[in-house]
Amino acid sequence: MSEATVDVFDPRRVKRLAGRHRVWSTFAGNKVALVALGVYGVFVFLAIFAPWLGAHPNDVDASAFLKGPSADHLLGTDQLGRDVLSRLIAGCRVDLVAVLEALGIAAGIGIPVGLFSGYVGGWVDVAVARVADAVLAFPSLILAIGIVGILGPGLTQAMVAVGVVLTPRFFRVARSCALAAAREGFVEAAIADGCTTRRILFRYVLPEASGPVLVQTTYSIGYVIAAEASLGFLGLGVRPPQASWGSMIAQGFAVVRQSSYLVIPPSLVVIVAVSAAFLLGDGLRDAIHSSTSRRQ
Amino acid sequence: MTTVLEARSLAKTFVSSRDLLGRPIRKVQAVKDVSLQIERGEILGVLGETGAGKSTVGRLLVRLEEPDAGSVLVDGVDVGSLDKSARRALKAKVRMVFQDPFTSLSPRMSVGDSVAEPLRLLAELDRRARAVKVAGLLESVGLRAEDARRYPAEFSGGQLQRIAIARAIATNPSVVVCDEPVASLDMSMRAQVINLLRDLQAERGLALVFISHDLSLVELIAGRVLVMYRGRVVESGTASAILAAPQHPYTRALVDAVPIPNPKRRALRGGARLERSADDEQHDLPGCDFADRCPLVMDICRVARPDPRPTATGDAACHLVEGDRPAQPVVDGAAAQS
Amino acid sequence: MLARTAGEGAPLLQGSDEALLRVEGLTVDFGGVRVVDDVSFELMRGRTLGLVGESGSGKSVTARAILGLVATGGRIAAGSVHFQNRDLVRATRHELREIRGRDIAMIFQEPRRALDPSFKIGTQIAAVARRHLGLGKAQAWKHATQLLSEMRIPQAALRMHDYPHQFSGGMCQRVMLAMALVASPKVLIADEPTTALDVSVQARILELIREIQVERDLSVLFISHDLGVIAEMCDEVAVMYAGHLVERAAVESIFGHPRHPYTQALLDSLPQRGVGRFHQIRGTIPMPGEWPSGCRFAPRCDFAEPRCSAPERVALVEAADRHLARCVRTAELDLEGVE
Repeated sequence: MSEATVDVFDPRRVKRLAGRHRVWSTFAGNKVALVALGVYGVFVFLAIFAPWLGAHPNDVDASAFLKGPSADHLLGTDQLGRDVLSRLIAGCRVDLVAVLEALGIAAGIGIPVGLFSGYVGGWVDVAVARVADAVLAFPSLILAIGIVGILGPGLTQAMVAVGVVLTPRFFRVARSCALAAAREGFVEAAIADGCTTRRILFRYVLPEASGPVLVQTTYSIGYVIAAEASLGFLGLGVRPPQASWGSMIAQGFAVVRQSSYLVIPPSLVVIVAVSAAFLLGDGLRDAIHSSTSRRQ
Repeated sequence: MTTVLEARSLAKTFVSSRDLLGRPIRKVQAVKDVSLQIERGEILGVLGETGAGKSTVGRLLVRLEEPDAGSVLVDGVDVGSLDKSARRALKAKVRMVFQDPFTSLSPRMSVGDSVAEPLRLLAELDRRARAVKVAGLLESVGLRAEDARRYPAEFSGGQLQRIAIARAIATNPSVVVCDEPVASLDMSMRAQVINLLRDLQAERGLALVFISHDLSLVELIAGRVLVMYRGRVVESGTASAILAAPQHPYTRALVDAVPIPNPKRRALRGGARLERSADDEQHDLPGCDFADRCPLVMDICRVARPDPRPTATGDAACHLVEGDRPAQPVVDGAAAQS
Repeated sequence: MLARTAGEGAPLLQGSDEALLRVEGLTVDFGGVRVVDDVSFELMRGRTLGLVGESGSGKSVTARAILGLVATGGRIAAGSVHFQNRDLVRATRHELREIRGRDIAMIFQEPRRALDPSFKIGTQIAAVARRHLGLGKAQAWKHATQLLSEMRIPQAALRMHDYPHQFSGGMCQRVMLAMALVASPKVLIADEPTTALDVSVQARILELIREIQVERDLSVLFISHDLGVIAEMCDEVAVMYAGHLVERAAVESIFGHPRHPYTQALLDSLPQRGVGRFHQIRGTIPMPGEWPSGCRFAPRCDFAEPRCSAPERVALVEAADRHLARCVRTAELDLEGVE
């Protein structure tokens, strides 16, 4: 049996703050992650306040087709005379709503099922995990296209498809956290306290998964935006004249012979959005890892 | 004298490895055949080394594990015969204090919330009543009511274990099973926890099951003791009497092995040293489990397992102890003609 | 320079005994906080010196500092460690590496952690032999096998091919001992070697250490918080509290007639001395950085008087023949010890 007493004193082992403070303070020290957070702050702001910012994504300016940046149109116009900047801002809202839809499904299904499966184990876990593996093994874009094919075109349908594709990833993260949590001493103590399985999952297992799940969510934001871009590019996303970043790239690509400029603004925005999402995820992951060391 | 907790012929086997299809390959018989009785307000020590199965017995008593055979009776009722909700209700009566206080309390919950958790079993209390009770419990273990808001990371090991004790007694149990409650603590903190257990036991008429590998601790605190070896009880009786005059060779070897904090006594002690250690590979041989290491082994020991027979101080399962029943040779479970 | 009273560091055992290891005024800081404060003792040839203390006393840091094994952030602020006409505190890293494992060896509390689970036991012991003795592969293996059987492991030649997970805790400790003894060191530092072991296993390991000590004329520095083990194993005992050495004497004197209230309190709080209850030392041990001025034990001492906290530092005095105590009142107190 182990009776390891801590004898070698290390005064640097000072009292640890409650987890949350530490996560934030570590995160705040990461400049890149802060910038990424700022980027999304801007996106959210634009998404919420788009109508009041004078964006006119569908107004046609007959005098300017496929023009480059000018005083009237800061980022130029597309082949139908619409202001690119306005469409980008409008697209912000569209894309963020899309993210919410897709993640709503993926997390809404993946997390509870994953937690339950990982905690109870046994044949239930074996069966469900195999199903998740099967979905995961399927090439994601083809799977998404297939689902859109069944549901019909449209942004929401496309996001349902993306959500289904993402569900196994959330399932896995939640499940592995639950597997680890199920062996924790305090879970055992909770069982001995007479807690129901539901309470244990909610109160004891879910908090253990919150960190990794949060990280998975941020990474997924980037994934959804890129997926929307791909599906929009294939014409399987938003219906015109609605603007989304992905459909804007598609439209820009359609006239790339006449104007190589039009693809650039939406592509850059997507690159920034996806990168920021991943950097945000990295920052959160590092911050959470540094706070999970327990006092001996 | 009322029996608050009773175990009859408990057995539990764990699977240590399985093949690809999930079928068990190697099994460990942690508990082979253990019976015990705990009276109201008594302190029963369960003494044993690694592999004795004492922790598993504790977990079987609290129903963290289901026995493969045998039964546990709480206030005379067989737990196995009850339905799920009745069993859950019983968890209020038989509680546990775990070995490592650093892992048995969730680091994300305030100490007050952890202590309040078992109170949910007693549905009558609303949130305010629970908070009041938690404050009272914390004070009864020597902490302050304000500590309820703080988190485990802010406390020392000894304080955490006292919080765990508060959680254990929250439901006014009749028995608290303590599984090596001070083994993970520094020497300086052991006294506070042991003394607290003693005081609570006296004040509340609690029965304690004190599981430990530390002889001197068990001798200090326990009234009766069970000595376990490889899943069975080899000797039982009054703690002070047994440890002063052990009847079973294993108990004797254990007592001899404990270093005495007095250099003058050093030279006086001899005692046989046990060859090999208990966790070496061992096959399930017939006869006494201790036969392969016993310095006083006889031929019959390898063939027939000794039943517990009465001694001056209690019971001992050893052929050397004269009993009033001859031992039955064990042949595939069937009793053979002697 | 830290002031020292007469008798500090002087040999407690006379005659032709030589002091193999002499620690004088050892002081260790961690990031500006003192953890070990002016510790002096000697290890005589063929003898066992016990270093006793609770968590936070500084005993493990002291033991490691002897071999220069101070964790990152720590440094030896003062003092010397004399071994074979050298001061290890001032030795170069290269010199220390030569001495470690060869002349002074150390074994630790968790034997399993010291072993690599991916390599055979034999390979690991032989590796030490090759490094310290420059033996070839076959020779090193033979030497290792011999050591393993000397550690009373039956069928040593076969067991050499086993992996650590096939060994029990007690056997792993024997392997650690074997690795420590590869180069026939003169000094063995044992830091709580049996704390994590079952009591019957502990008894055999302690017996083994005693036997090896006699066979090899080994000097042992034995660190433990377990007074029973100390009484069994040691010829001389040094008690540490809050970084200080508070008492040092032959083992019979420490147990029979202690001269420092802390030692007495330790003896009183043994389970064997309790009747139903543990005797508790009130208060808690002060952590490094929180040491009070004057006597560091005074806040918890049953015999404390205002003058105990008066001096900036309490000096170590010769309380009786070859018996040192760091206590202002030591001459007046008559502590009973264990009977």
